[in-house]
Formats: sequence, structure tokens, C-alpha cells
Amino acid sequence: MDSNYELIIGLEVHVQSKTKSKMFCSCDANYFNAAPNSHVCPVCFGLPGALPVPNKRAIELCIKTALALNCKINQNTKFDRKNYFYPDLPKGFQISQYDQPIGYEGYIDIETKEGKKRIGITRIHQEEDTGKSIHSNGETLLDYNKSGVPLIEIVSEPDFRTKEEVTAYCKRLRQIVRYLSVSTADMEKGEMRFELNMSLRKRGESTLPKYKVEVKNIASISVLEKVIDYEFKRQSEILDNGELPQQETRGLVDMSGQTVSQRTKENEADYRYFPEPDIPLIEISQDMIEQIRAEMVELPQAKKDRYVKEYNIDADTAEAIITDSATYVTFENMIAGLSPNYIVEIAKWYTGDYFSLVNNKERHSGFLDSMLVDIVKMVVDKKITRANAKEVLEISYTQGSKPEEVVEQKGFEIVSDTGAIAEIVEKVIANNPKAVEDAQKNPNAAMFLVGQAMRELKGQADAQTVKDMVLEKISK
Amino acid sequence: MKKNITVDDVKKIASLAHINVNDEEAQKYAQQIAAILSYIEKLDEVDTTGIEFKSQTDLKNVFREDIAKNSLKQEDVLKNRKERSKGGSLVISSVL
Repeated sequence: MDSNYELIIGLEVHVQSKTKSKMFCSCDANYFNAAPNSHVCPVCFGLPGALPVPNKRAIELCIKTALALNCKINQNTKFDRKNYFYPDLPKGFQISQYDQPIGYEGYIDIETKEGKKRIGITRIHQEEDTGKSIHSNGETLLDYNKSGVPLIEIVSEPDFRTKEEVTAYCKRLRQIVRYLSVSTADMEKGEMRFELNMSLRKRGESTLPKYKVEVKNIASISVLEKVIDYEFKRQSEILDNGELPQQETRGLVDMSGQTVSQRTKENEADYRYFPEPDIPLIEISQDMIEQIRAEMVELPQAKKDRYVKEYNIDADTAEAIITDSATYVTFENMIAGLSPNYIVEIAKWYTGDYFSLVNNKERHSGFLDSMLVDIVKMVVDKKITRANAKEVLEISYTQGSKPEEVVEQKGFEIVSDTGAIAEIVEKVIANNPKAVEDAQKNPNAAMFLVGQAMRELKGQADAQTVKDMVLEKISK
Repeated sequence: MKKNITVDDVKKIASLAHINVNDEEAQKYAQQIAAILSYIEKLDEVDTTGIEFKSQTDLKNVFREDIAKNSLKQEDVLKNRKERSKGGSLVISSVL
């Protein structure tokens, strides 16, 4: 965005944790496609006498997320009631956390065209989701299956200056919660949602603007990008007129990114937060933290950096491998115990030819990932040419045939008998005296002789070996 | 410390609770709420210097294992408002 204004963005991201039961009761948390109001109980509705009891697993997942985002942990924590009156919240309050969130003061490093950038995490806290309301024909339909499902809220500092940074952050965050098995973060199912806090300032200014526009309930990264574009235009036009955009909450009109002013929402004081009297205080012991830390897998950025450093894999290839757990686990299984010269080649073949086969061809049940390793080894060991290896891979992938057998059937094995190669090279040299003369003056002209020899060898020889031999023989 | 509750305060609280309150009622409630608050203010007489925030119970870390059990039956959930449900969802007037 080329403009006189600079973006100031902070994000609140909600992620549904992957637990079996709800946050404060034993109702099944997997409400997807369930009959409306079939996963509810007196605790969900806040009926008299109902007692909420926190889900231990959900608390652990929240701590795990906080640790992954480099947060400090509030070892003395508690739940609070956030009071507001809306039909998707049958209790009249949401159980959330106010002044002692589970995690605080963390960060995520993201990658942009300009390099790495650190985005501050203000806080991470545990709360519960609300019910689903569908508005149609002047009525509102309410289904409370979702109400009470554990929800982790991750609040960032206003550290974003471009839309690209926001996108990179959201994708990295989604990747992290998936790596940790905290959430499946499927946006189409509403498992990950965004709230945007955005304002603009003149380039060169260093203080935060005097206003902030909040846009709630953004269901996907692509809509979030559109909202940023829309708000950038809207807010710059107001600023161009010498006015200040109103501090307000805006809602989405549709998926186009257009926003409209919503009636003034409550201020923080209007939520009348107070400690949840039905849930005793929580003390997170150092032991519990260490136990959760021990359960953690290597995170995406660390993994990528390690691939680049340890295996010499280029950054784009590494990024493709760390996309998700299934992709990197397959890779790490393939390279187990192999020497680095194989690993860097396997990374290229895996993300290149193999990914393209996965996307375009049907995989034969007989194909094993170890076959890709076998093929790449043959290439590195100069037993088959690259071009032929591609064909072998496709045959193995689509027909399940063993690579060695394909190589044998097709006669792809490279002539590694240097005597046989030498014989052919000598023959080519003898038959092309003019070319030999040229090549002796200009080594680049030797490629003609190499080409001739490769043709005689039907391509089944290592071109570099042939070239070396040609150069050696003509220099005599 | 005597709290003065104004008609506007009452209207603000009423609007947060989505309750309609007219001027006459607001006046009456303002006096009543003020009376309740001044009664509770007796607590201010207690000297709490040096006493830390404490929960209403000495219990700590009361958790459940993550096990899903049966919920209420849908028909029981809807029992009291059969005429105001649709396909299992509760129906209310539009809140949009």
C-alpha cells in the first residue's frame, strides 16, 4: 500500500481447543453436524445449582500455547465473569479471564520480505465459546451446542505495519496450534476467528493514533485481508479531509470486506468483570509447566531454521516441508539416518516432483515413501540420470512398482563402466577431427563432442563423467 | 462514602440488561439502589489493611478430566418452549 499513511494493527485471535468435552462441563465438545441443542446441560445454561468445573486438558493446552508463543505464565490464575446480555450467552455472562491471564508478554517471530520480525503477544487467556445464532425472516434461531466449548484468546501488541505481516502472523499462529495439536484451527468450521484493531498514522510519526477501529467476527484470513484494504481506504479518506475516524466497533456487511458502524458497544467497565465465585483459584506449578514443555514438539520456525542450517536446504523448500505435521513427519521419516548429501536432494525431490505427483496423479497403494528415497539415492550415486529418475518416480508412484525393477526394465542404469565410456569417447573423437580442433581452441566447443558421446551412450551415462573424459582426451 | 445514584445511572444499567425503564421508575430505582449500596457500604467500616485477596474457598485446582458424557436430551431442553422452537433450535424475535 503506497500511501502517506502507515497501518497500525493489533489482532485478537480466538482458537477453539481440541478437547473431547466442553470447558466447564462434560458435554461433548464436538458439536459439528450435531442436532441443535443436543450437547447442552444445566452448566451450559447456568441453571440454578449448576457448578462449572474446568477441563484440565483445556488448561494444559492453553499453557502449551502460551509456552509456544514465548509467554510468561501466571502461576496464580483464576477465572472471571464477563457480564453481558445477548441471546447467544444463556448464562448472561461468559466465563473468561480478566486480570490474571494464563500467559502474558510473549512473542512470535514472523518472516516477511524484509526479513524476520517479532510480533509481541500481550496475553493469552482461556474462556468459553458462545452459542450459535442464525438470523432469518425476522427471527433468531439459537443453538447452544457450541456454547461452553473451550476457546483460547490470543491478543497481540499493535505491532503490525503491513497486511502481509498480518497474514504471515495468522498463518504461523495457525501452524503452531496445529503442530501442538491444540486445535485443528479449521476456519471453515469457525475454529479460528479474528478481531482486528486498526488505525492509521502519517508516515514518520511514532506515537499511536488517537483512535482505534475494531472489527469483530472475521472468519478467515482472506476476509481479514479484504477488511484491512477496505478500512485503509475508508480511514485514509477521513484523514485526508482533516478529520479523525471515530473510535468504534464495526461489523462486516458480507465477505467483501466492507464494514459498517455497529451501535456503540459496551466499554470494558460495562462488562462488570468479577472473579468467578464458583471456580476455586488455580495454581500452575513449575512441575506442571515443565511437564507440558516436555510434551512440546519442535515449532515451525525452529524446524525451518534447523533444516536450512543443518541440511543446507534452501528456505523455500524448507518452508514447503514444514507446512504441516503430516508433511514434515513424512520427510523426517524418509531422511532418518541418511547422510546430508542425500537429504538436500530428497528435500528437493519431495517438494518438487513428488508434491506435483501428489497433486496430479493417483497414488498406487503399493508406492512407499522409501521408494522416493531409493530413487533419489540412485540419482545422487549417479546410477540413473535425473530425467530418467523422474520417469521412474512417476511409474513407481502410479503403478507401485519397485524403482530398481523399473530401472532394469527400462535399461536406465547408467553406464558406469569407464572402459565402455572411454571406448565411445575415443570413437567420437576419431570421427570428428574438425570438432576436436575447435574444442582444443575453445573448451566450450567440447560440448558438441560430449553430446555426440551421450547420444552413442543413449543418455545412460553421467554427463559430467563424459565431459571430463572428453576434455582429458582432447587435451593430450 | 455515600454513593449518589442518578436516573442516568439506572438507565445505563437498564440498557445493559436490555430492560425498558421509564423516568418515573428510574427515579424510584435510583433511590432503592442507593439505599442498598449504602447498606453494603457498612463493609467499608471493616479494617482490611494487610489482608490479601482470598477466594471464597480454600480449595485450589479443582479440575475435571476431559471426558465427554451424555448431555440433556434435546426434547427435554425444548420442553418448556415447544411452540417456540424450529428443528431443535430455540426461536426468539430477531436481535439483529
